Amino acid sequence: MRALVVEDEFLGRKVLSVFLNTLFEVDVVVNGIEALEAFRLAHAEGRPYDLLLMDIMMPGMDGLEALKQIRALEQDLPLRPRVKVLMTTALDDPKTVIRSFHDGEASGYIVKPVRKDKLFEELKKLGFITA
Amino acid sequence: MSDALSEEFFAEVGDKYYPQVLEGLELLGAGDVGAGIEILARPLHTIKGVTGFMPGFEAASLLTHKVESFLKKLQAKTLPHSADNISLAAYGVNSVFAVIEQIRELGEPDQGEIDAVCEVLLAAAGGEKQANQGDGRACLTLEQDAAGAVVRVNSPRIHKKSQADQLVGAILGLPQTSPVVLDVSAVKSFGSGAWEDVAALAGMWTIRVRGLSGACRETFYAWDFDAVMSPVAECGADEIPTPGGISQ
Repeated sequence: MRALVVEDEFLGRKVLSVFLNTLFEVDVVVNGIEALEAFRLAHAEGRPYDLLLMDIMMPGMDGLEALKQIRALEQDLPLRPRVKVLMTTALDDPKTVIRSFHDGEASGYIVKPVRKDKLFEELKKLGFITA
Repeated sequence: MSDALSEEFFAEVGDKYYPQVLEGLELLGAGDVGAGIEILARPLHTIKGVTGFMPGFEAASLLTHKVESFLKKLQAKTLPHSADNISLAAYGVNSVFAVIEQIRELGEPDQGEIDAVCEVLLAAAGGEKQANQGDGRACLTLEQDAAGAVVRVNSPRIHKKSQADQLVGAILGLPQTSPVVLDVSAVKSFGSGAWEDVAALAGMWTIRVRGLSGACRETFYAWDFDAVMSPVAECGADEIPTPGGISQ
């Protein structure tokens, strides 16, 4: 399985990669623009990502905008199955949470700091861990 | 944060999702299943996600997940677009909103109701073949003890018409001269419709009910079925009610 970590902070990228690398082949990008590019490339290679961990506040293009564009691509091309996206962010205001699920069709939402048990609980809900 | 999120969420549910859902249900009812589900998908996904993130709302998230899965099977046509399945989809969607309202008003959902909805959806989602097997499976056993003929209900949820028909059929096959004990010790929830079907026989058979508990008990008393079917615990050995529920 493949996962893409979208995170602008060095330490955050490192931690999430370590958490995921026992389950996924992990790629890392630093903002929404790179995330879109990686998403397109993975589909072009015929090896799409199974999971995206998406930060929201990032320079260039934020996570919500990137997710919106990814969903639009999936809709237009069309690409199936839709990639599962976990938002990993320090933002916990109601509008952002609701927007993530409604506009971005996020699969889950984790408020930073991301703990391994919380992340794995979400992965279990999404069916990546069966035990 | 949680209170602010709840407030914002309830406002969105009322102002935005409910109208979308009504539109989706209308299309479902009109037979445009694909378009109906397409409209229902977004608000339901949002409700599932946000309630899963809000402490105390996990049950609503779980129920929404089950309803969403059922709708996806309808959309993928792995479930036939039968009138029963469409009704069930609408029932599931309405239940999501009922549960959210319960949590909002009472602080917690009616877990018995959630379990009952999930069970019905699960049975139907197992496909027509499995559903038919489920309908055909006996939900009761007949026994005889000192109290009289005992109809022991084995299924934990009695909500389907086929289950009520089984119960009615079993009682119809018993002599009217001796009391019938309906043993519901194993039943967690018993729909009011099923109670009504059984209660309709109370004028012709003396029906006593044993083992009432939980949501099953609540429905029984809430709908005043104790007026025609006496619970065994409240009925002494010499107080076997006559048909119609009047004690001898």
